[in-house]
Amino acid sequence: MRETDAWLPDLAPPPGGLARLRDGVRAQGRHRRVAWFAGAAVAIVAVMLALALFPGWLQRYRVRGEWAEVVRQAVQSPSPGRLRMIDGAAVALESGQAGVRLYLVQPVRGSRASSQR
Amino acid sequence: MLREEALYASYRRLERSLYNVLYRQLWQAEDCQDVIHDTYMRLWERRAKVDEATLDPLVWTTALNLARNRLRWCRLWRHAPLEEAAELSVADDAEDFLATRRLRAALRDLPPASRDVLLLSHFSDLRGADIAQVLGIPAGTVASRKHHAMERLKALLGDDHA
Repeated sequence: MRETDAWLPDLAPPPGGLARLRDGVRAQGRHRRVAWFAGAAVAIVAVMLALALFPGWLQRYRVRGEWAEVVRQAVQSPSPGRLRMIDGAAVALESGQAGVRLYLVQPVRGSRASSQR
Repeated sequence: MLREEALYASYRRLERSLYNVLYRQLWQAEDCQDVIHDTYMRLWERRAKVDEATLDPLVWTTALNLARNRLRWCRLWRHAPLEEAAELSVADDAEDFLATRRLRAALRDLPPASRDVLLLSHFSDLRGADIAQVLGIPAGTVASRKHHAMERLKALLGDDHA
């Protein structure tokens, strides 16, 4: 018998601890699934609200896309006669080199007509 | 990665010793149960980072930290423990009740690290190096802290239990 046995008798823990832990582990799994679905729902609602409340963002995104398209076409079209502008304008600049054509391109917001130059 | 079966196995293995150590700190059966439950739930939440090989020392460290937090919270909000109700559940007759009160006062007077060393040495199956790791103290001081705690307890309790 140890010296401390008299001071520190062994106590039995109340029953039901392991069952409580099992319930807790199961409940945590359920809570995690609920939290995941709730998070997804909140994210979807947030995106829809953003699209509804900030339509200007969509417009700017579209203009940026058109500007990229103009640049792509300008690069792919070596002849100035085949340069096609969509909602934009281009000015030929002096490149200083015979084999290089240089353009300043700018999309024009609100203009729907396409131009063939 | 901690598996569910390993969690339950550790609970079965350590519940009794955890309860005994925590009871000598919190003196409330329900608080001890809550701390043990919260310890395992916390480890389950972090199961991806828990190594089963070191699970038991981690359980002890977490449980002792949670018990300290609970005591700190009680002191902060001045929650007085229900001494008599808790102790009567342990000691049925008046003589044992008084002895438990004296023990409680004596343990409270010990330095926390020495008290934890004494309780872990008595109730847990941890070796000296593991106790040092759990408590975050140098391994070489475990034996001396335990000896010091024993001497202090003897002095504080007199010949009542010796």
